[in-house]
Amino acid sequence: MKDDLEEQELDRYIEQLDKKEIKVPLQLEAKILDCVDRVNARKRTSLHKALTRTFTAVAVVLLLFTVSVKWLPNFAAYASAIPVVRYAVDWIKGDSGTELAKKQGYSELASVTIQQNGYKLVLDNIMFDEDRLVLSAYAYGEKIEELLPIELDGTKPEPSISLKFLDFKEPGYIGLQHSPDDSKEKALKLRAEKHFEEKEVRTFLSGQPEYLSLSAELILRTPDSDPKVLQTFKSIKIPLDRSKILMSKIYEVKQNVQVDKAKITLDSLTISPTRMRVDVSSNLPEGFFFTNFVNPYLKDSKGNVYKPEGIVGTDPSETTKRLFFVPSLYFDDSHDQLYFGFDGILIGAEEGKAFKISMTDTYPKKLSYMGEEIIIEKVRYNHARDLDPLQIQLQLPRKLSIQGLDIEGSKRSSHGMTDSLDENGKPFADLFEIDVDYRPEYEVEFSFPGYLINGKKEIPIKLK
Amino acid sequence: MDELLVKKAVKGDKDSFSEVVLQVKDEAYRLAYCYLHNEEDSMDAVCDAVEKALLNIKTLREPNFFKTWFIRIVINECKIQLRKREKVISLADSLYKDENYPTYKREEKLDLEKLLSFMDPLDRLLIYMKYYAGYTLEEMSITLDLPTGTVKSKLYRNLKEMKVKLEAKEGAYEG
Repeated sequence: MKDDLEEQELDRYIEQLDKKEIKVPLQLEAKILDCVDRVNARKRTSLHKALTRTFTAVAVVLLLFTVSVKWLPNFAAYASAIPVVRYAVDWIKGDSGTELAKKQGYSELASVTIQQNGYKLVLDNIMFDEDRLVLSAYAYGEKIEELLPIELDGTKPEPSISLKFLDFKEPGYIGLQHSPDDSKEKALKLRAEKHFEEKEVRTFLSGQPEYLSLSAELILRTPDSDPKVLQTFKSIKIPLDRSKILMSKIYEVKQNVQVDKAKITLDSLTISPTRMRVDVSSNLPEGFFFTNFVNPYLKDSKGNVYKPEGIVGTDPSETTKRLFFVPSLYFDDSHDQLYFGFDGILIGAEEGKAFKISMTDTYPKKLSYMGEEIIIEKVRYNHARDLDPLQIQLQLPRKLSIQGLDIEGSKRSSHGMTDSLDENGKPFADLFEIDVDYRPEYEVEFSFPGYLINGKKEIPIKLK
Repeated sequence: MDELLVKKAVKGDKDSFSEVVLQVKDEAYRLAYCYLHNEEDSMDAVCDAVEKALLNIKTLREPNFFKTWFIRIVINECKIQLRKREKVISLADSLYKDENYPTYKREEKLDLEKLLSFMDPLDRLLIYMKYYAGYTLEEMSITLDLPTGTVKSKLYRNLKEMKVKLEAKEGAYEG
């Protein structure tokens, strides 16, 4: 009883005192919504990675070529009964193509280590043929270690390795940089792939070089300031035994494939020691363009299927494409023919490819592309975010494929997507996040849009 | 709290989840701030709690329990934040133990808010929950996962001490 009275007295005492309300920051709501988006994007990315399986550590693609590159492998809807040829290898070290070539006795070039000013650069797993030069680059050093793991959120300094292949007219390459999320990682890692033009390697080798010459830079990119070069390695020489570099086998195909109104020509098949390549060209009615094949593959006479790993293809021009498949049949002479197969094609149209997005409009809104309805579910500019603050959520119909959204002045963008369905059987909306300054209105263009035309085909390619 | 909205959130509807979280965000932040007394840390704790809640929403059995469940996650995240900071707040006691400390400085220092700022985070939270946020003892017990008796005894023991200190300050004014 006495305690109760005392408690009531204390209650009354405290209640009559002045209490200062805690002010809630205005940016809290934006931070919460951003967090929800990030978690959902991670969930979708996990599904995406589970399906691709091979490329789980890649975070950044450094494009130093002028051609456009597709690096995401298509999702394969193959039944498990169809054997897809694969050789297990850590992506930083190679792919099924380099792995089988090594097993068949194709030599790697000697690895090279250079040390300067406390930095160490190692070039390893180097394979060179007429089609491509691939290598792994590892950078070590106290200053590098301090910057790991890399966040890749645009708010913190990001170290990277940059190479130049000095023997060739175009010194650039396609690079895949590893973003370690583990603080035990001590090295910065890059997988570099240099593609060659026709006869480029033959011309190079005709000069009887004893080395491949490269230069390298360790660069630190910091938000809101110019990149800083931490260390330059000017003259790197990789010893070369010209007699061991094998040339590609090229087969002229010149076969037309007609799918609906689209005429696509398989121009040639190139079989190199570490990879096979199909070159195609397209001829479509004006206002339309050929985006890609759906699930392209090569199949041998035994029914084994060869698919891309990593770099799926490149577009040397608007009407030509190169599609890559691994491993290679270079060292296997037993096949009379191969089949180039696909499940359908993606055709894009210029009309409707560009549209406007206003930040003051109400959403959802509908727009139409190639006769299909796209719902713009949400558009938000998250001022609280340093990285990719413009977020556009699109509900895309199954018939349409869009790789990304292009906006003038954007510095980078990402696209979270999955082929899976949510618990209600509804497809997840695609979330596009773009690093661009705030504007009341944006001119947006679909990047690599394609309308799916189903049409499973297998085209024979004679090898003998 | 809209039960239907929570049910949709549990089924994976991201927008419904965002909506229910935004309904409780102010209370969550204030409790976090009460615990951590730092704006950035408090926002981080709330956001970390949002992430954990979103990943574990399927474990929520009773939709009408969402707020309690979420606030519990927020408080756990506050504890994690505090461990990261490794700070010890114990100034007020030292002021009163020093008999030579000038009275006028005690007067300047102490009011309810200042006193709260010197308290142990959990003790401060108990007072905030009851007298600022209007929780009953039972609600506090469920949210903090402490027996009601423990909540009550800690609360009133602290209140008694606070009253003594505050009245000592008032006495100094009048004196």
